[in-house]
Amino acid sequence: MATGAQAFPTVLPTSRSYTPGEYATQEFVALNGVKTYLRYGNKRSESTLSLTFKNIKDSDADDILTHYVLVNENWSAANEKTRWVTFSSFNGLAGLEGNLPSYFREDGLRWRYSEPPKITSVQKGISNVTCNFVACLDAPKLS
Amino acid sequence: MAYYSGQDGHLYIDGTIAAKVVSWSFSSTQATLDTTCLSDTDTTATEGIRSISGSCRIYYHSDSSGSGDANKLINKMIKARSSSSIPGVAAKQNATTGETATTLKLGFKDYQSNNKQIELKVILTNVSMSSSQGEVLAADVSFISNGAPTAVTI
Repeated sequence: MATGAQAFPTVLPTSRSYTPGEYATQEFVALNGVKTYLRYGNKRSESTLSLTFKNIKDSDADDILTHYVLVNENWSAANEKTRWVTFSSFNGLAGLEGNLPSYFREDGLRWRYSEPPKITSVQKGISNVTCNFVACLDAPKLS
Repeated sequence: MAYYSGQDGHLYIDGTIAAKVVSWSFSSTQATLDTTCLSDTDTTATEGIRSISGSCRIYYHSDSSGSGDANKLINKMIKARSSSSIPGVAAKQNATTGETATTLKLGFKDYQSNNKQIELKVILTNVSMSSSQGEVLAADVSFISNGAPTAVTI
């Protein structure tokens, strides 16, 4: 059974929206307005990524749905939550240049679907698909 | 080899050739769906929906039965109310046939006397007439094709 990183299907997005994650921080505000910040980690988390695929073939939309099912199935099994999504220039990171792709592969962050893909049929054989992802820090394995 | 002009043209309405046709025209349009991706440098597209629309102009004339081809089309679209006491209800264009009310063949006769034409099931979208001094009364009719043509020999 497939475990670990699951490469996103080879479908090029029409648009991409990315928001970097934030450090785990708590803010305390005193009565006089002074703010104190407590930082609980040295890695950002909760990055979000939205990919839109316009006018793609239904077979490509099917590949995305199949991938969504693969990443999320069998949560009750031994490999529970050990699958995540990776991107490359052949799919979600297409068109990115310079150092920008490295932000999508931050150390320790693992992309997972934050909600099911939304598929809108345009005409026979053609669909629009929107996928939303969130990148989280996985808890250390308990041995 | 031959060129063709208006004297070679014809218009059939529901299988019968129409008389006193001044002109016909049609236009076929292919919509496109943009498939340009983030890494592309040039626009790409795929086929979307096709559509055909057209128009014709027919002189209004009457034969011995008092009818003509212009009023045949006019009567398909302009209907008297079904009941004199109900102003908002009249028969549809397709009240008597299953698919659409009107079949048109727009074409011409070629050098070998074969009909070159496009056959369409149409819905009439506009009928207009105006009477004025110095002009022969005519009906201008616009239509859209309901689905793909049923025959194309052009």
